[in-house]
Amino acid sequence: MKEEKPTKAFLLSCLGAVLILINELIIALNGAPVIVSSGSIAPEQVLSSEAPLWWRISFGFRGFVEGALIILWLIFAAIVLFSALMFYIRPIKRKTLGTLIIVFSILSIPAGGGFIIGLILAIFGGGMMYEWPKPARQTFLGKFVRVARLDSKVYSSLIEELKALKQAAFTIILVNILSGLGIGWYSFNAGKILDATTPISTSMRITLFGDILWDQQILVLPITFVGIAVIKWIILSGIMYIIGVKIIGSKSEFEKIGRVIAFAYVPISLQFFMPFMFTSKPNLAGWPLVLFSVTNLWMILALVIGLKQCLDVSLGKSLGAVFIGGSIYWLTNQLVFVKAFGTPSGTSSSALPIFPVPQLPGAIQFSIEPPELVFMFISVIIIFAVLLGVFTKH
Amino acid sequence: MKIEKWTPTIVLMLIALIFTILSVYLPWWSIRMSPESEMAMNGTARADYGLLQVVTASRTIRNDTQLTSMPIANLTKSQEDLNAIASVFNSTFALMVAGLVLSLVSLVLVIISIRGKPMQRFATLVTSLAALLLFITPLYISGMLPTVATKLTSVIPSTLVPDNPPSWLNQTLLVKPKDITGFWGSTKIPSSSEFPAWARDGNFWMWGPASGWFLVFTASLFLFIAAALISKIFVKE
Repeated sequence: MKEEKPTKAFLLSCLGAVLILINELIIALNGAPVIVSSGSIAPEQVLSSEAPLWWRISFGFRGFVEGALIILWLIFAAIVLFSALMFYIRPIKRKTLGTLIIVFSILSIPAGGGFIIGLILAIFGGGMMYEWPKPARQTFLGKFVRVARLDSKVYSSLIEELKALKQAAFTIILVNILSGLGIGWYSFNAGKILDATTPISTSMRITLFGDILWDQQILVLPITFVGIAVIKWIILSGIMYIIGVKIIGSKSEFEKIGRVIAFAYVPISLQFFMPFMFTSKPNLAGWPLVLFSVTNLWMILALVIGLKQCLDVSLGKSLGAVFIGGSIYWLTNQLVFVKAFGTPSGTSSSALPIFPVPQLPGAIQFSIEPPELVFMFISVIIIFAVLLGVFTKH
Repeated sequence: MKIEKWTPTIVLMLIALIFTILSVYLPWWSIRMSPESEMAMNGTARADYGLLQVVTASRTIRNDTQLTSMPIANLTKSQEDLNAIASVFNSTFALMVAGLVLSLVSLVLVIISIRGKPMQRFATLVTSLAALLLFITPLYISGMLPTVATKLTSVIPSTLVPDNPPSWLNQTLLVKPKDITGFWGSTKIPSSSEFPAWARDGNFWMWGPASGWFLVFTASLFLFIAAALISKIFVKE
């Protein structure tokens, strides 16, 4: 194994720390979060039902960065910087320093997380540091990056590595915590904005000034997501195993398919960033829809590439397998999990919601109606799968 | 890419020095309108208190801009009050200058150490001391300023108040010194019909540390990091 110099881990975490520090200093000087918006809008207009499309991204949450609290965030950023520099000078306590970087950069999220980029860089730098001298691309977080970049070679190493099953299980849990937390937090705040009983000043503070509300019930969603994630992972792996091995005739194993599927979920973790952006009232459901679509499409692409490597089939067959397996999985998901957790509020009983979201106040739901459309959609997918050669033996 | 091991330490110390020098000319404490009140009133107002005992204040309301700069002495009633206020700023300044001088000395010691002379222990000690002084400086002013703020006649220079303002605006604009009960703080938007419903319950004025204060605080953190690095940097592997 090629031993890497610690420069890359150092530079990443150092750059992350600097960005976190700059973000916090700007917040300190403004006395308010850094807000980037699509343009100016009259305050009275932003919560009207006829408001035009307007969005804002808040780097920092207002209630968390006011007053003397900012000192705490500056100290946290200094700890990240110190750990990065200490590692470069004496890389002996790499695990402690890497952990410190990861923990304190995560803690910087309420203070903007270094415009998000700083947070990501610091976490990757800390992760690389933790596993140093392993080459960056072979580290746990390095694999995340490679999956996100749709690098097919990462799946070859996942298929061969026995240790990867533990990592796969950890990935599933991590991705679902992040996604559940993002969706739960956003849903709770969007729900407050949409709720007619919420004081207008509260809704305004969330929408215009980067405030964010927290409640313990937000944690329900990540806990639920993690609870059902492992079962869903096994179901999807089982479906893909049947299609890949029994129908296509590939010589893969259930465990290998499981590893590949777990890592393909990585893009879903980006849903964590949902609460950083809010829009004018009529578009509050639009932003999650965009993020859901992008991350799920990304996941599907990762899955296609992963299965191509794992089943050793053509890209077309892999795509067909994902189409047909994904549809069966989606239907199972709706029939088992959505029914188990109830039909979410705001959707009609005949609607099939895409996401099984427990009933948080004003939870954002998407659905495809009517059910006939869903069955037609699945039929088209099966035809596509046939055309792509899924039912032709390997 | 090869980076010398002492480079980050030197860079940190240089940034700390620059931050500390800049802080002399930057405000240390400021009182300003909150984002809600700025939006509700379509204007801005702020007063910045510098370490050199000068208050710089500006106000823009309905396209009417006023800018004024005056010594803190103009905002006090008596020489006794002025002495009490000046002593806080002078002590803060003295602490900061001491920290600045020690930072310079520590930088020289590190450079000497890099050139081969064994000065590492001295450098660590002096850098730690400089960091401690620069850490204490902002904390000192944070603790002391609210105790003397009541001795001011007004926190916002009265020249900023527009001619013949409506009574509600006059009362709102003139934050009283007795309201300043802490280094950080705020006053609420009054429930006057002049303010839109969405802005009520929000802050009107908010006060707290300004750029100079934050730069010195950050400089102290950098020097603490530098001290920890110096203690390891010249140890032979």
